[in-house]
Amino acid sequence: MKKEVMGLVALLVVLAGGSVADVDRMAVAEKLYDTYCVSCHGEDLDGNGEVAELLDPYPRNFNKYQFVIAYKDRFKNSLLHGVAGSAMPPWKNVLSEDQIEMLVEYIEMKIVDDAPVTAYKRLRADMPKPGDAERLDYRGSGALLEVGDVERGYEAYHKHCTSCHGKLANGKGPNAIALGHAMPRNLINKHFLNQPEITDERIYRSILLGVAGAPMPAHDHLSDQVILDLIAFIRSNVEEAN
Amino acid sequence: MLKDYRILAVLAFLGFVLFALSLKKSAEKDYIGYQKEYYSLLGEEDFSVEIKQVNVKTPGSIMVDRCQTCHIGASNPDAVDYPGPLAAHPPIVPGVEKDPHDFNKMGCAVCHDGNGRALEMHDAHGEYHGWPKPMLLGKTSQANCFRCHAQEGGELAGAEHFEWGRELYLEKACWGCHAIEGVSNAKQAPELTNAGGKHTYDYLHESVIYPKANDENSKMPKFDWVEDEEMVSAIATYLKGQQVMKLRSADAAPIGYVKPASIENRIGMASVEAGRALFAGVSYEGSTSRGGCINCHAWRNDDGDISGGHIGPELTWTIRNRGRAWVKDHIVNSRMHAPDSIMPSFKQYNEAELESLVMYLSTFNYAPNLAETESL
Repeated sequence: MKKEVMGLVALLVVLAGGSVADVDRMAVAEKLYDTYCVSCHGEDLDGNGEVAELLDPYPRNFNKYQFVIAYKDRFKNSLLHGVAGSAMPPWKNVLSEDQIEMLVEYIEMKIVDDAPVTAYKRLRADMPKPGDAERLDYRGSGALLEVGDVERGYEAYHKHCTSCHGKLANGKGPNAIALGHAMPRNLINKHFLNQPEITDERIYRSILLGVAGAPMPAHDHLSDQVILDLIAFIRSNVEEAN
Repeated sequence: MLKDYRILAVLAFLGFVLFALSLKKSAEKDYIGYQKEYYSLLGEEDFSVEIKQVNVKTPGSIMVDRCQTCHIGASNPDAVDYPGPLAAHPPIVPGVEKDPHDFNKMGCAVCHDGNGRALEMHDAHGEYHGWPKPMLLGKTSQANCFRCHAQEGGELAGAEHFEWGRELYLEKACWGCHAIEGVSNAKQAPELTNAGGKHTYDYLHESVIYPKANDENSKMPKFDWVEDEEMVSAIATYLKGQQVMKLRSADAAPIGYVKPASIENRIGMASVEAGRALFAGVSYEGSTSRGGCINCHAWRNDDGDISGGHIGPELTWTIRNRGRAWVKDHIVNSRMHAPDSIMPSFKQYNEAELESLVMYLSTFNYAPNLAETESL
């Protein structure tokens, strides 16, 4: 009886335009999610699972469709290798690459397909190179960009960033608690910031354009020089001693 | 029509009556009634009502204890069935013919706190705002056994509730974050060596159940077992017993109880069974090594049944995900990997204990059966 019903369901799905393989794939992905991911990321993918409250940083909230659309290319890597400096472990020894891809597709299916604004698109902004005569600091003085300076970065940090990221740069500024999920990034979490994926370019984009689906706003009022200085300051705090 | 002076006379008379009534009331103390009732129950005709005061000499000062002015039958075995405050005190040490606690020497407030000087009930029981030591009733007064008796190791007869609290303090891994002198020296959370000296029982009780009650920024997790009132009461009693100011020094602890030497007996050989015991927070073959991972972390058995706490991440896959070396480092210092982790540092573990834990964690090999997945 059960098989017949399943067959009927499969037939209906095929008629409706999907393929049986796709459906089964998502069913497996759901089972994977409910086994491995749900305790932290929550039943609704909102990053509010049973154990989420006392984790720092919080598990990612996938309900912010902007985040999923903007950064879904990173998900596979995070699943394979984990996120250093957080509770997210590497899954490459437990899940196959195919299963990891399934999970990424599952998140996309759950979030992006229901997103209210499907046309959401993140701007592209390439980090300018210091000393590039073609790419001047056109939002600032219009001068040639210099290599970021830690001292100036320190000044700029205390002018623009402390209300959320805190004077200690540990992501616990006075406004942080009101931002809820996700909290501001702990900028002295050297394990996180020294991952190969956290390039200067990525920090540049996060400052200039803000972080999609997170409280970090765009800072397009800052000149490129100031952003380069900020990156130099952030990097100087998490330098690994040799 | 009344003349003015008559009104005055009536008012003056009324004032006099009120004054007389207030005088009469101030002369009628509760304890006078209690003592009269007590002597009439005893059938004694010839008695005098008096304030029964015990002066307890302590190293610092003399404790004035007038509780037996009302609780007059406390040490009278004939008064067992007397009503309310007149009844005899139930035995303290079980199974002895004559209880070694003499209330005529030690009074009541030594064990029960409250305000020993006061004669009015609410004052004497410390039931007003700001009194540092509200009265401890019933089993919770076992906290004060250790104002006189030595506390390290050993079991004190009659203090079962306190001893259970001590056991729970270890089993529930409280020691992992909190320090108590002689128990652990963790630095994650406020030290509790003088918890009972600083805080009332109610404060401690409340803070176990809802850690944010007295400190909004508290990072202490809310544990599932706080639903069990008996358990919380036992732990709060144990914590209330943590007082630096003692009435007796450890050497002069009263007779009838020999202070045992603290023994440390660590796990020396790594084994899965030892790891399981550490994980559960219980003693392994009499060892004093303690764990308690299960209070925060969950795991799944081979059937996929999950059990344990939901404060830290689930550990079913941890060895497979992270590897053995990483897990050992993480137990010793989790901040090495995640700077904002609230997991306590278990840096007192020796190699055998770490190895035992990793061996036990390696036995988790649950994997979901994906072949049986049903279509959505």
